Amino acid sequence: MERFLQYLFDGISQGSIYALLALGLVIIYRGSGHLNFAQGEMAMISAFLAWWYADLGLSPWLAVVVSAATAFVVAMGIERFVIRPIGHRSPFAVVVAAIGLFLGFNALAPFAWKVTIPEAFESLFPNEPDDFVRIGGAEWREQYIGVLAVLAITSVVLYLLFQRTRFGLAMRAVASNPESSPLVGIRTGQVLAVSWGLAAAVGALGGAMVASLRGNVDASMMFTIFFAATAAATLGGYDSLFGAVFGGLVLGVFENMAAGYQPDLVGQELKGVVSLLVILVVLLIKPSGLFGSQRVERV
Amino acid sequence: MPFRLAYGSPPHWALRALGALALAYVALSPAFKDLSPSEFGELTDIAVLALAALSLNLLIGFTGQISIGHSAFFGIGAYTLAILVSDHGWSPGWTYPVAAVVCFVVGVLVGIPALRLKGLYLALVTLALAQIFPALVRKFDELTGGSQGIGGLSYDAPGWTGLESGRRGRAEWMYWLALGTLLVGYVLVRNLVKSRVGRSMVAVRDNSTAAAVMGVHVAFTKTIVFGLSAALAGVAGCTFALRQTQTTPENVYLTILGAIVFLVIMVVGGAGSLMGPIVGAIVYYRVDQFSRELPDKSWLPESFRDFLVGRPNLATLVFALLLILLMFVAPFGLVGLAKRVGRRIVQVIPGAPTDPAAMPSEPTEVPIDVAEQPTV
Repeated sequence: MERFLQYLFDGISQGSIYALLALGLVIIYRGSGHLNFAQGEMAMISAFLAWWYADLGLSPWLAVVVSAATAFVVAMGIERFVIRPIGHRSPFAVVVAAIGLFLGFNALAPFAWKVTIPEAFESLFPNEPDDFVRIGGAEWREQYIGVLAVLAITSVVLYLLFQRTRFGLAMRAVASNPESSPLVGIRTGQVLAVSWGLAAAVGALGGAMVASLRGNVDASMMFTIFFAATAAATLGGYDSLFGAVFGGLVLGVFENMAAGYQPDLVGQELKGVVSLLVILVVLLIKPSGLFGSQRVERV
Repeated sequence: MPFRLAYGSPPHWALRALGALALAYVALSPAFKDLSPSEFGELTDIAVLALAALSLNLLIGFTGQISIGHSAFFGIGAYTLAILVSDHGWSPGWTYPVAAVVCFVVGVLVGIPALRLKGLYLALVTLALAQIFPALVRKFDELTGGSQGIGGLSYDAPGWTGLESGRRGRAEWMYWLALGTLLVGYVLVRNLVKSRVGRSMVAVRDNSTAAAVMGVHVAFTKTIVFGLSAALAGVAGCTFALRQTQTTPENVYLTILGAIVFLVIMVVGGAGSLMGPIVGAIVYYRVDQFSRELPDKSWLPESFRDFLVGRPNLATLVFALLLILLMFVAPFGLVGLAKRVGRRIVQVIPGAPTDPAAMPSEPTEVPIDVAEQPTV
């Protein structure tokens, strides 16, 4: 039981990070149907920004907030000046452009800050050896609880934004019917740009959480996490915000259980295989995910 | 007013022959030059990258299935060679067909679930493949040597080639091997694309539903192409392993970044163009090399050189920007751009230009990008 709880707590914490990244993927996908392959790298570069701002003298949390704001603005620009014009061409072109962004951001971090080895990142939560809560014999480290709290707050804020504000209504309208929403006076372009901004800001939080847990920032830190986030979003359904959070948490727990109970077969090394299996099984059985809406395709 | 040449007319043949001669010169000239082993090594790398991008072009450029996971097939090829050579004492040459078959089978196995997946979802699955391949290599360390990898791979030039033994002969032999596999891959892809299967590939790419209605066996075409593409990538991986003399899961070309590099080369060169991957590989490799040497160039301003010191990845940044820029100005890559410019000068038109009204206004190449179609 103790072991089970331990894996559960670790899984939930890991899953919170997947969920933050998956939220970003879903926010963008809902608006325009694009899968942002650069989501992970945008989060990585935001974490570098947070590290840099903190280095310049901002307090750690303020640095994270400012980096999220920077990510918001930059991502709006990317949507407006890169993705939207290319999106008129073909979906393939958008995928290539997103891969270009992936590659660009990945190369930018070492180039801009002259770092080739991981740089130390100050933990955002209490992180002394005895900073943990004991529940049923299992230890839940406070920094892990902190990450879960960040996810909870983000989810609530997003929920309120989508369900209780006029702009959120516009975003939902664009998601459900992009052709008709301009007819009722919604500025689709603005909505899409803000979607990218929001996704990048949420991703920036995710990136900061990863950096805080790792204790450093590194250009390759988001590879596996982004990949798990795509699995989480696939599981939850690409157009469901709730699905992204649910998928992230479930995947995190599932992965940790598999790695913990099958140390020889799965272990820490092959956690990624769990994500691959989840992607495959979901896509083959229920491609719209658990909470996504079915899309009817017309020929 | 551009020159117009009838397809198959003597001037057209002369033009093609000239192009073929130029290519042959570029490919064969190393035989007559006294190149150092490291220069042969560079050429080998280019040919390997070109073959990897060629395999991706078959899949993405001609069949429209996006893969961000070809580094995995590249790696499977490399490891097949490494394991057979170092554990079973095979001669490297015989491992090539085995690696091709292994990669073909894995490619088909990946391609079968991919049948139900379109576009982005397929990209996701292949991304997953690229992501877990190094992890699998580390996990099964009895077979693969884990993080240490497998070393000591080399391929001495066989006696019949008449190449000297030792480092220089080996380097030159590697180049001919890489060039030979590239040539075989090129001819294979060319013949495939111009055959009945090739036409069904393009039909699947442009509109798979319409293709199915017209009687194309979509599932068969997609799966076979996936397998063939994987096999070509695997063969490229074989030469790569020999050139590196070792394989490790840490090698960047065996990770997702490798898959992205192949994609970049293919797109920069020209998706859906036969020459594209080769042009792309040359451009990619040379620009990358040039950018590494930049801090030592004396003709650059001192301040700029100081700025560059200690900053890696300049070339990668340039290619990332180029990739995005190309999507705006030339979605068919450099070859597509060259064709567009060339068409202002010389137009090749089918048949003799007798009746102007019957002439097609613009010879169309197979577009990967459906720019003119209104998106609904």
